[in-house]
Amino acid sequence: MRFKPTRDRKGPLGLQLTSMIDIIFLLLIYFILSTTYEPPESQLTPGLQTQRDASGRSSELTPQVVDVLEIDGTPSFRLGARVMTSQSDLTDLLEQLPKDVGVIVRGAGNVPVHAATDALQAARDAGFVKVTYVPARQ
Amino acid sequence: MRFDQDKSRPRLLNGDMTSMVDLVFLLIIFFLTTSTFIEKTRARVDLPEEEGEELQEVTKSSVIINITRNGTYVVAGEYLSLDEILSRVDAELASVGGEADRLDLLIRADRDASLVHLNDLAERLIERNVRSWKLGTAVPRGSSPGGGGAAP
Repeated sequence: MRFKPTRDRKGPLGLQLTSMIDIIFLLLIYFILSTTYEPPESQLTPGLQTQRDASGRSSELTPQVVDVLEIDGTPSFRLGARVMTSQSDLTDLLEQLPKDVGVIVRGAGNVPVHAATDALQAARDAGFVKVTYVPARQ
Repeated sequence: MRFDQDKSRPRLLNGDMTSMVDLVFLLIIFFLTTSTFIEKTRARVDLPEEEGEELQEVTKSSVIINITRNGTYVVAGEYLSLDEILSRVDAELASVGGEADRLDLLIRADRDASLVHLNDLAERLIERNVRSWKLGTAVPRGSSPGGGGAAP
């Protein structure tokens, strides 16, 4: 047996790149086609309560209630006698209220989900720690 | 003038591939690092645009319920009725020893879905003593999660 390598082949070593480039192109096409832009997600974590639980509190500790409702086809927020359609207006109003008792967001009817989340976000932005969502019957 | 081709030259073009391979590698690395594989549990819904809350710890929710624009409930890629979803919630509750506080529930509702569907689900969850949930939101462009909504 002859273990000695042959010294017949001379010259520089040539690397065949064709197959590697093929694979790289296939990978590139796969990533280009499969990539979709997904916006980053966040979360709101309100507590859950029934309407009965919310109304059964003592009057001293009754939290402010934001009603999310539809007025003339426009999602609106009602806090006491004030009705507004803008999230920033709601935030400004909530900022003036005492924070200890918390706030209840009550959503009813065919209002879109984003109206309820707008109210929940406004409550958080206003500095409320205790935010509760109450599913209400129309 | 001589227009006929010089037949002595080889017809194969010998371009330098180095820079092209470099570029392709860079593109591959870019796509590899930016690609996130979408979880099967998350259906394609148009989430409400809110910054959300700055959470102390981000946990992976054990149950993710998607509500589409037309009010269909989707869990793990399956279209389910409310009763079917609740039986899954019950199973998950049983797995955490019936302690509803330990149930990590994420609701991903489409921003234009009617609140009726969310309320139906909420009421049935309250019946099971589930008093906390997470509502999924999409972080608006140029904002960060919990950006403006951090509680003091």
